[in-house]
Amino acid sequence: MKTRGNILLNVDWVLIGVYLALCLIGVLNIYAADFNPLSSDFFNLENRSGKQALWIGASLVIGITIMSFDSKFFKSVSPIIFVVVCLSQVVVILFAEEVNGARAWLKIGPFKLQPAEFSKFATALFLSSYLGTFLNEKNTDEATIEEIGKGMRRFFKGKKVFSLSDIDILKQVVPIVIVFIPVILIMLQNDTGTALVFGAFFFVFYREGVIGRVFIIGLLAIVLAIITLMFDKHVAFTALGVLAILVYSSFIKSTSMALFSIGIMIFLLVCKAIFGWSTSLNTYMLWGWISINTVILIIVPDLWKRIERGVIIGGLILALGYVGIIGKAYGVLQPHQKERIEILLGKKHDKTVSFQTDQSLNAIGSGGISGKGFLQGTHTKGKWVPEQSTDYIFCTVGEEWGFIGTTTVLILFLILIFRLIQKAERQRSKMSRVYGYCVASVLFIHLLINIGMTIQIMPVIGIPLPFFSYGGSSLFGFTALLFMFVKFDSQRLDIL
Amino acid sequence: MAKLESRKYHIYLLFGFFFIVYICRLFYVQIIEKDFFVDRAKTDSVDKVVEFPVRGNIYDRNGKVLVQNEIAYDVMLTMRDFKVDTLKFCALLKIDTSEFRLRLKNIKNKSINKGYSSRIPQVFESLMKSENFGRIKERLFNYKGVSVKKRTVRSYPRPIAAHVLGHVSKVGPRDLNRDQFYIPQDYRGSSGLELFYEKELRGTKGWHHYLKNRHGKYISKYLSGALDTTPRPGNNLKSTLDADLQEYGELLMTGKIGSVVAIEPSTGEILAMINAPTYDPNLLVGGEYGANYQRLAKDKKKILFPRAIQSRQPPGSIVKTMQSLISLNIGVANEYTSFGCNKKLVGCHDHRNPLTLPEAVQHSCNPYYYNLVKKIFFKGRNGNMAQLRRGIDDWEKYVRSFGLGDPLGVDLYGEKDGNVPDVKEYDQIYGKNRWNYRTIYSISIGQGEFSLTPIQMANLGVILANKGHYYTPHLIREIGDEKLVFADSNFYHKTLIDSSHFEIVHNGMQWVLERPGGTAGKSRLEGVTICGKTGTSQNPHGDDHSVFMAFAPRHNPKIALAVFVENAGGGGGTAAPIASLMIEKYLKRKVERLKLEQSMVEKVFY
Ligand SMILES: [Zn+2]
Repeated sequence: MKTRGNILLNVDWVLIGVYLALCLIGVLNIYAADFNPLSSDFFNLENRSGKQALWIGASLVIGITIMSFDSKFFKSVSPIIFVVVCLSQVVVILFAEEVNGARAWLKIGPFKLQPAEFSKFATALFLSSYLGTFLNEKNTDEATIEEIGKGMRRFFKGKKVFSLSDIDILKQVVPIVIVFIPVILIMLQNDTGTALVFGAFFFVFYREGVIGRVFIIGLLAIVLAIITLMFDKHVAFTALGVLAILVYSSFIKSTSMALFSIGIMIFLLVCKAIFGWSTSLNTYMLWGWISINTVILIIVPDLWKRIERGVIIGGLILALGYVGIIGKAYGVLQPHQKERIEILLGKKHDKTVSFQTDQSLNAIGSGGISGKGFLQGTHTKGKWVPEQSTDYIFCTVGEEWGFIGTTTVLILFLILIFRLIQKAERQRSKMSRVYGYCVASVLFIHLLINIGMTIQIMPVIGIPLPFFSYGGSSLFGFTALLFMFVKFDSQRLDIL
Repeated sequence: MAKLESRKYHIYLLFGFFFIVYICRLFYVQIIEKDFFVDRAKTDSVDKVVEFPVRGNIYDRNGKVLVQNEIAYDVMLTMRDFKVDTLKFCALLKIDTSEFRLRLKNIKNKSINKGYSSRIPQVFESLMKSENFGRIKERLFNYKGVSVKKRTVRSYPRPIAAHVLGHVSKVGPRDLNRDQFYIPQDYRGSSGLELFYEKELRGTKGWHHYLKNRHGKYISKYLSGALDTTPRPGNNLKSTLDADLQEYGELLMTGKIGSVVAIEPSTGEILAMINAPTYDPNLLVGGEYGANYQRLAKDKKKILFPRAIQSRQPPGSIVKTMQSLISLNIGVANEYTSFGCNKKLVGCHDHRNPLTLPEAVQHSCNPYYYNLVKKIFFKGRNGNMAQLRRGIDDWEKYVRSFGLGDPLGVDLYGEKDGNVPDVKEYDQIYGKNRWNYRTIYSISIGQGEFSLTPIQMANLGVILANKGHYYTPHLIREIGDEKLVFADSNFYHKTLIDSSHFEIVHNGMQWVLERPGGTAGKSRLEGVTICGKTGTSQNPHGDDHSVFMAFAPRHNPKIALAVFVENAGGGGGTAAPIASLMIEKYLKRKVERLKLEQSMVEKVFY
């Protein structure tokens, strides 16, 4: 209890400093993106910069308010906050007006709030308080790739892989349910982007051992899904490639070979992401990957002998089935979603969508090393990039501040996120650690999708850049998310 | 436990890995591929807007306007706002609905109309004349999405000299490829002086660079206008034409096919160049250009044909003046040399017999020139084929020194050369040495293979007036403030005839009009000594063409000219009176022989 009076000393000023820096850079770029020569007053509340400045002020009030409560209080009210936020979303779904195809806004007097922005905070808080209470260190699922291999082998031999009694409902099912409730609510608001962000909690689950093999199989499934959508003409090859992974996982004693194969594939994907997508190259990439696998199969001694036929056939059937399901699921998607996916995969060049992303890339690319200068961005001034003060705010940074600006922003985020993980690992309470991971992961996913979208390595998914994008709801949500951890961190010594 | 904690490194690695990927991607986009994106961003967001320069005017020698600019209107549609009753709109603009639909389709077709945007006004009707525009202005502005852009078009206060001035037309793909100056909206000179002096007349375009927004609206000047330029108007041209004389000549040539070319002998300045039939140059301006051009081009009288510089015709007897000079110069004849009028050699009319050289000019005696030219060719060695060939070669050198057989070099494109027959040509036609003087004698009286353009005929008048030299005929004397110099050696040409021989021929030419029996006796002009020579250009397809070549006054000549009227018969009947009236108009500024004028105007030969 000694430390309580010293809260300012225990506050992590690095987190707060980076937070303030990001908010400040953000509002400057909003001013530029929304610049109106007829009313160029920065703090004019008619302008977005003025409003954002006001919201930054309000956020600080929110932050200070959070800091002034005891963290135990939050732990106890976390279920209430979670329920209130969920209910407010139900209200939104039932009563809100539709804006741009989404029912997401709650009107309170002159203010419009987006409850979904707060549900990340509420879910993180409730999930960490739940896991902090029920997470049993002994029963964690520490499955590795080798264990998956063993499981696969048992499965193909017709033996029991696991029994229901292996599943710890409290530990493995409830947390996932906690995450899926807001996801479903947000999906009902037609806000797929925000729902996707909840994928961030899987990093948390991985770290806490909630999911092990699920996570790895899920990762493989995602990779396979992308490959399937990308190369529908080469479904068989894809299945073969997956089989190769399964084979390595099952029979190679060390995981290094399997990792090597997956690594090569990721490397190829990354190269494509950096240098842009093009269909013909994708084909070469796949062929290259398959030949590498074949070479490995041949050069590793006795590998053939150790592969059982059941594994090959079973793996093939499983992979083909999965690929078929992906294809079917893809067919169910709405046309505009399909279009976005196809554009991302480089299969299609739609004019309206690619116009938007092309303009975004034009703005960033034309910034060069040092940018065109504050308020000098021609694309920014011409409002060429739609939604530039909200989802595409990173374009303004890219155009007016150049590579120096974009890397500065990325490094600030990197510092913030790594600092969060580092601090999370130093927490004594399990709840604080889980919460720290939640914050880091949510910020990371936002960053990944938002910036990835502006530089054309992610599909067009409209979610804000934390602390940067214009909008009160998202700023309040992220501020609450971050400051709650700062609060936990400042009290870490109190909890034994 | 320890195993789980080690998973934090997986997360560090994964997150860190994506950061590196993103920074690499940014490095690629912002540094390696920077130029590509700068370029693409600029094409999208910077608009170059042209400001057209004013095309130079053309004035006559006395400063009267021949060509000027007039405001015309482009009717523009902003497709996003454009909603009209199609029928009423079409009726207003006098187009039919299928044309209306076609134009809209072309406007919206991005492969034709590259910069199309539904928010930016697009040209629907181009260059509507201001009088037409004024008529519909009020009603036009009642429609939504209709706007108007001012441009300039050529305008001709007096509808004269259409072929000489030429016209402008929209640039085509070839112009765009050949000359970087042009943009698709440009107009360029496509005939006459407009074409020849295109680079002087067109000026320099001004460019404005605007930053535009996503919707195509201009938000500011690009780089605060640092790249902007103002247009520089084209140079005005001062022509050598005398507008009054030109107009008068066109009046006289109504109902006739042919041409009149008048040149100031002391300078080579072309005072008038009439191509008949002619047309109102205002027809080839603005919106009606296409239809009118088609109509003129299809006319059987070949209205667009610039006869003065392109029509190659046998000059007829006017070359007898030149033959006389050659014979005097090489010494095969003198003033008193006479030949009998032997009509068995070649046809002639009744006249006093025998004739001296000037009298032969006066009476245009064909047998005389049969003999004279024979003498020029053979130099007293009759029947000798080798001498004939040498003689023709010599004669040809003289003739070519008169500027015949090649274009004179007037400042118009398309001038034709005419033809001076030579030994080679006769060999080709008849076979080597299978011809003799009897075969080719028509050369002596300006018929057969011999052909001249009207401007060459007029230039023959200039040489006679100048007693042996001429300046390259030209139509422009000043470009902008710069006076063109034609006195230097490039433009000064001397014939091989000694100036002392001219008086004898001038006597004959004066007698053509002034002595009884002269072939153009009716064309005398009181108070002015005109020297002239009639000609009849034989036409195998119909009536002979009437030719007259003259200069006046005899001493210190001010004007030399040739009149060529197709299918009008002998030179004395039509061409000579027209030439005489032209001289009167030019020297006295007022024509008093109104009866003669009226009878000439009323003559119709087609
Ligand atoms: Zn005779």
